[in-house]
Amino acid sequence: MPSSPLVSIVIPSYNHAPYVAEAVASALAQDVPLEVVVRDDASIDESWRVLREMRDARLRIVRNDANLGAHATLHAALDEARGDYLAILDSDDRYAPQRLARCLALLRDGPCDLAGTDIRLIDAAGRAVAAHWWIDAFARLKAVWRETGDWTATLLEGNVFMTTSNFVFSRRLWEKLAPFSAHRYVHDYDFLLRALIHGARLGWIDEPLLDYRLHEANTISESPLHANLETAALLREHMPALLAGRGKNSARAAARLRHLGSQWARTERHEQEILLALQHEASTAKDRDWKKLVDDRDQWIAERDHWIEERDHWIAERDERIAERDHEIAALRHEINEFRRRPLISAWRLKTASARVRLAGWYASARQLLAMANAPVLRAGSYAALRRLVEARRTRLDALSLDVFDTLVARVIEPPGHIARRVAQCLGERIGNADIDGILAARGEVEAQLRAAAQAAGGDHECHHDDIVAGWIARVAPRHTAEEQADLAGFVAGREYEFERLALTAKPAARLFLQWARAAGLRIVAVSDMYLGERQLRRLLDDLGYSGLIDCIYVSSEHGIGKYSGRLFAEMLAREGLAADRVLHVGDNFHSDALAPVRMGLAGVFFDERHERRRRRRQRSAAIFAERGGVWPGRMLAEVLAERLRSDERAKLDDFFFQYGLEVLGPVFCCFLLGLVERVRRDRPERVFFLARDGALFLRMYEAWGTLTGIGLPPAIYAYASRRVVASAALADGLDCERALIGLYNPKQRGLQSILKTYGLAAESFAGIAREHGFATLDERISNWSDPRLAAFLADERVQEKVRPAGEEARALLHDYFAGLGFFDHARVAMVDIGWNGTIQRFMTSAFGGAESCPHIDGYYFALVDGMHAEALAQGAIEGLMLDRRRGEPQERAACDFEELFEQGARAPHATTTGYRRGADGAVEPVLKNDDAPDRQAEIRCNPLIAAMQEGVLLCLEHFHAAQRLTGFGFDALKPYALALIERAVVYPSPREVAELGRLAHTEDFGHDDLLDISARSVRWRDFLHPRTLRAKLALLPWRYAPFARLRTPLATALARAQHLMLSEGRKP
Amino acid sequence: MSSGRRARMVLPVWKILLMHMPFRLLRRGGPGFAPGVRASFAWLGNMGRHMLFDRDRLKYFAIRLRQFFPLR
Repeated sequence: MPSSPLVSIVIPSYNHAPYVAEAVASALAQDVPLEVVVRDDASIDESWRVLREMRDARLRIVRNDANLGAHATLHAALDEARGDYLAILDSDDRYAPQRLARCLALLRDGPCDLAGTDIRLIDAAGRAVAAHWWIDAFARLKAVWRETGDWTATLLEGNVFMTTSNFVFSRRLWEKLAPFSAHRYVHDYDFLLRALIHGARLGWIDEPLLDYRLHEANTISESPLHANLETAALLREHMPALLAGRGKNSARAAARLRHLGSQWARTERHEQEILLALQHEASTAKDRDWKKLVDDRDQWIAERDHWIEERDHWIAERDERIAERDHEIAALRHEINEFRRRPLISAWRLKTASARVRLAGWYASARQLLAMANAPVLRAGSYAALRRLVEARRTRLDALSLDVFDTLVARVIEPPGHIARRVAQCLGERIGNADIDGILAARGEVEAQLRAAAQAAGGDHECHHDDIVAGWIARVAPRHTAEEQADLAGFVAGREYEFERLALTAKPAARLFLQWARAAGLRIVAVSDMYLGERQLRRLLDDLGYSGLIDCIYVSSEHGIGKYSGRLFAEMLAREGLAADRVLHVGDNFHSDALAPVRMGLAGVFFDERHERRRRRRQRSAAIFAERGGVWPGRMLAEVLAERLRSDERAKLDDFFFQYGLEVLGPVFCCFLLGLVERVRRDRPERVFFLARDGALFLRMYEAWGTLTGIGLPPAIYAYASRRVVASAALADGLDCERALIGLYNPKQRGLQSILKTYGLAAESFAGIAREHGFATLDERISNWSDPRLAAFLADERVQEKVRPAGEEARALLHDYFAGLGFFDHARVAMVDIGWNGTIQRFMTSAFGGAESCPHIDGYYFALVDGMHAEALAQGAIEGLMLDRRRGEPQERAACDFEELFEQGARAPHATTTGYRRGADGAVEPVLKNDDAPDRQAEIRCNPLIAAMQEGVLLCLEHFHAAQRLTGFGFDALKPYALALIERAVVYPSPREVAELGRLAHTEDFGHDDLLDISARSVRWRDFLHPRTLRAKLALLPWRYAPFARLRTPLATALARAQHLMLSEGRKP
Repeated sequence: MSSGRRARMVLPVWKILLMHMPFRLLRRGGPGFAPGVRASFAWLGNMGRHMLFDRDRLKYFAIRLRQFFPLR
């Protein structure tokens, strides 16, 4: 700029980027000719960028290359200023708009050399600060100026100008006083005092025309202590010149001294405060540091102590182990020395060490028991003995407490856990899981957990059936919904109750004993360790006939405590209000029912029924062996069956035939029925036809089984049919050699007469033709079945012409009779008969099989000998359940070695069917044999015996069903044992059986009038010397083993059996 | 009555074995109603062991001895 302005505003700038623009703008806004010189002291913030963006003709911005300090920057800026008057503005302060105009007016018109104004304090945001100690200090200094009007006194009191921003001075003054002193905090104060000393005139405008910014980066607040020290040094430096008298006014001098003293005192006070504060801070910092160090040290000490403790612990362990080892070494050394001293004895001791330990255990337990022997542990071997015991103590007793299982009720199956296995099988079938072992294992786990939890909770290890079932279902069927699980739980509980009910029978002697005890005035309490609930137990006992006999029941599952610990007894005594010494407890478990009550003060009776223990032993072994298969499952079922029958009064009927049906035929026929039901459920025929007469018993058994089981079986129909009517109907195709030979099967056959009688043909009408073909008489025995005379007779057309019409009529009647039974209305039917060749089924299939209405026939036979008919069945199936010759199993053949026994056992009381006739309404009725025939009379006389036998079989069926439900064995598992029973009954009968069964009258096959004599012929030992004679004799007998029953040993029978088996290979069936 | 029933319905194991002997000697056919010689002897051994070493009986026997012959 060519001309020098009136005022130069100098703005030194360093790191005041937020404020420098405002400061420069306020300077440029002054209404006087001016220049603004801004010198940036190498700011490291945005100050230089802000300054560069400012454009004004009056503005000059310079930047130092390096940071030179506030002092040098200010001087460099002042050197560059060209104005006549100089004003300094700090880069964080700002001018009021009229400040320079007013100051200039004061400088020119004052006249004065340096002017200042009142200051308004602002904060970092530029807002006026209302209250601050700075304002109070400044007001005090302004008050001194107003009071005294003396610049020296005022300045001795303090720097009323406060900041270099408040300086507006002439160049002449600057040239006289330049430069500013090197003080960091008081260079402006020093300038003022030197101006005073040099006689400069100061001016003051009492209007706030300068905004002084107070912020955290103010220079004065960096180190107040140093500021005060500099102030004190400055005053000391200028004090003589200031106080040297210019005038003779002693008051003024005194005032100046006073103000100086005041400032000095203030300064010293400030210094002391600052020093104290610094000391306090230093000591606090020291304390903090010390505390940190002390804490660290304490922590290290604690860790060290912990390590020392651990180390001591390890040392102690090690010492222990060393001591143990030393002890062992000493013991071994002692042993070795002993061994060296007495080798033989030591060797013996070593060898018997384990045995001696075991003996010591036994001795200890025996001593414990003997110690208890003083207490009243009583024994009763039966209910009679128990009654004598109770009678002897009647006056000393108020109540009787009895165990339930094996004392009041008897089990028919062992072990009791078998019921859980059966329930698991039923559950597995229901949910479609075949892993029975897994399901049972889940139950075991749930029960063990519940028991452990109960014991941990403070009770004995007892749990409740409902909890077991709920946990079991949740584990086995986790994906089922809550309703399904509840349904399954109900199913499982029902099955378990059903099996328990089947497995338990009441002891009659127990019921009588309880009745007597109640009559004698004793209270009856039942105490049992059982997982079933009290409600279920009560229901069981009521079903078994104990209703009204037992006053109350205590079950371990309900109370969570057991008998074996004695706590259940204590509970019972407390609840019933009984004294312990007036109660007698009876039970079968030695520890729970004899020792535990004695410990609690009751009298304990060990109920030791010998037959019960034997039964338990036997059945437990049977259950173990049943897992092997073979005969053992059947034997186990027979054990269960025998136990059930033992407690059934109906089974004690003293009638040979009833007992024979119950014990011998019953299990065999029941096994057959089981197989029949399995096949019927597998093949699902629409109707089951039981053929007369041998199907009568089977029909009754089938219907009884359906009632007992409750499962829907196909309906059963009794069909009157016999081989006689079927053979007659077969003549419709003519009488050929094969059919004729059927009449010759009977060993006592009478040639043509037997043949014609077999087919119901009148023998007289064929006499002439027979004579023509070489037969002298019709009843001539035909030994050679390929006799040419027979062949010629049968080939004669006249014979066939007589035979066919009769056959066709018989066939039509047969067809109509079965149609009337609905035989041809179904697609699949079953036929059940005793056997032996399936003649009726074969004929039905061959005669009617071509028609579309003929159903598929499944034939189920007790025994299928299959000797007469060689051809395979055209359609349908034929199967012998107990014996099927096609299987070629020789151990099955006992059934066909005495067929008559099974026929007699299963037959109906009515006569055999000889034919059919049409009734008045067109329905076909069977024609039975005349009751006047002598063989029929014999049969009628035997009917009561047969009826008794069949009653025995039906009673056996009832218990067999229960036993089969309990054991869960199927037909295939039971069949081997049934074969053994058949073998025993047929091959090894007792003499009484032979004698009684010989009374039965058996008609020969095909409705002949002769009775088959099934009694025994006498066979003596000397007959064995003539084996061929013996063999011929035996061949005539229907029951070839009957004669051997008289012999004492079964060895002869076994030999005969072996011989029979050897010879039967080549024998024509 | 009961023993008779058990003998006819629940056949003794030795009797089943005896009945099976002809078939075994003649090597005729499959197992049928064979109980097995080993199983039969195991069964008989079981029954014998139970009878001999019935622990309840021994314990009771000892207690009754004590009752009849008390220690002074």
